[in-house]
Amino acid sequence: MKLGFLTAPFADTPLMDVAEWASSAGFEALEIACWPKAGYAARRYAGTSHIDVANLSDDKAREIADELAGMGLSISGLGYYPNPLHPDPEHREQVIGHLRSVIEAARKLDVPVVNTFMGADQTRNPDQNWEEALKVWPDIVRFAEDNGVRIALEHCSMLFTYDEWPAGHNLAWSPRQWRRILEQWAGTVGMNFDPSHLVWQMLDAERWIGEFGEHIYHFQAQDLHIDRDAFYEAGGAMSNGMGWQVRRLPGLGSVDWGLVFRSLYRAGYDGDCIIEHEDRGFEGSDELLKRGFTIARDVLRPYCH
Amino acid sequence: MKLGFLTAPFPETPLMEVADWAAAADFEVLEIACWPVSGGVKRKYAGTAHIDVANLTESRGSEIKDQLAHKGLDISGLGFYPNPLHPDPAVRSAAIDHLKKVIVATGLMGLPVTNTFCGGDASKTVDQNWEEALKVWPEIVRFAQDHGVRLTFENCPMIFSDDEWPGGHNIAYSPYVWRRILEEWGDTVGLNFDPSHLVWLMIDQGRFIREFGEHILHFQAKDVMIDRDGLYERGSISGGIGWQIPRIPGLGHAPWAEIFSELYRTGYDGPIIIEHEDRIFEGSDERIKRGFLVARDQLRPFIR
Repeated sequence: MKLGFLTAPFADTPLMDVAEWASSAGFEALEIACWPKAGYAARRYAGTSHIDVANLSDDKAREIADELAGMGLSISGLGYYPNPLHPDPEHREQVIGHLRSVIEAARKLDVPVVNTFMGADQTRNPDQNWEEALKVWPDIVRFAEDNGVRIALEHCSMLFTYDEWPAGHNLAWSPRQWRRILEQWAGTVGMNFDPSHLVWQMLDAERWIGEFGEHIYHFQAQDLHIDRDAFYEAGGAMSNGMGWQVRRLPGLGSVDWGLVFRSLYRAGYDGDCIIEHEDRGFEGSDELLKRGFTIARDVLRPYCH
Repeated sequence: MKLGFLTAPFPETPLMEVADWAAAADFEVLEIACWPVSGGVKRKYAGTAHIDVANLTESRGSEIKDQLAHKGLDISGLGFYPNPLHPDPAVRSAAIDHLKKVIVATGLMGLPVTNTFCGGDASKTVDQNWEEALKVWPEIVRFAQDHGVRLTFENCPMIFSDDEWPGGHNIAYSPYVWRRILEEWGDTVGLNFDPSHLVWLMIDQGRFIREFGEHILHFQAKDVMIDRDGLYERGSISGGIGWQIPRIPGLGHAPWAEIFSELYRTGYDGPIIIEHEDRIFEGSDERIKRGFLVARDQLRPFIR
């Protein structure tokens, strides 16, 4: 299992500079952030464009892969996390168009997976969103198959404030939903597993990995702690994580990493472990970001071999 | 403290027959279900009319009270749990009209509290609902004051299925809303505290009782179990749908020793009213009574 990180937090640093630091810090893999170069609808932790996938030639792709390999780094996947079920048709069309470019880029780079979200219309309940997913996703799945690329959906509900309330911006968070997804598209669509989401959803991680382990195509290591005061304040489980799910670096939250790795190895997962950094305590400068990644590295390194 | 129950699960049995059984089974107090006799919005566990409050005279009120007293039973309060913030103005005004009749009846009978809900529009956020509550409730609160009656809101979010998703039908469940309620109307409005809701909301019982204990005017003893399979299926984001299972006290996860420990500590000395919504003990009066007896024997050791 190789240890690496998602490059998204280094929005203003060129990919190869990030790679040099990663390599010197003992990382072995990168998930490369591939938002559109042009940039639109940037939200926190989204928007970094480390590869201009819309204009990627085969030659350029080979050059990037070779350069990274020269530093001892492989690419775990390309990451682009928009809302493909956005209620605005224009927005939806835009993000799906870019998602297709990311899929093509993965083929050119010989990267096995594209990491993304299923998306959701926040005003509709899960069953209604699923109806819509059945209309939107078959085309995307076929496109990925044609390109020989697999799609990993992260199981984040994308619900943080009343701006995304009540249903969030990504339907693929519950076991109930995942069974439907796998029934339709297993083989091409799998999971970008991130145990931090299970913490505030109060879902049993061992059971989850036991059930879905063979469909985990990518693994993001993020941590989360529940702010017990805010949880109490807001009315507990009714408040859907708003104000009390606090994203932290691995080791600084409530994820039981021993249990997670024990279960992943047992399930036969042998992909990379990609640190996702959204910890506000370690933001504001590349220096602080790197300190955060270094903490996460040292917490996870004992498990990743 | 006195032990009793809410009469709602006996919709077809006249009040005095319910009372005879309650007295024989050593209960000491009843919360009387006072939905409209003529019906109205029906949902499960709602609709029982054990007193016809719309046609209650003072002498009829005294008669009921005396008859119960003769059996050794107090009345803890009158219960009517509608949605006074319902988005449909007709439903809302029907609910508020009847609520006022319950308040009048409470005053006529010299009872301490009318138990109800704050209400909520399921499609709105908590803050939006609160804005609406500030428009609707002052007049009802004043009405209660004029009749010398206090009001309690049960701390139930009233969400059970997609029909009440996502906001539920009663916003009075979170500490931050309770602080607002008490700031506005704390002299007249208090809590009808039911610890079972905190179980699936995963709110710390002791902390909640320590903060709001002095405002608990009525206590409903119900239990909830979390169906772990159901929670795993849907996650905490699902508003309890499919995994919060109402149970008889003692058959769920409510920590009764801790709850009574904190209640006594906070000085609560009112009634303990069992609320029975356990589907395992339903279907006949016989089964409902068995459920109440299980609850009675679970709670009795704490109640003196």
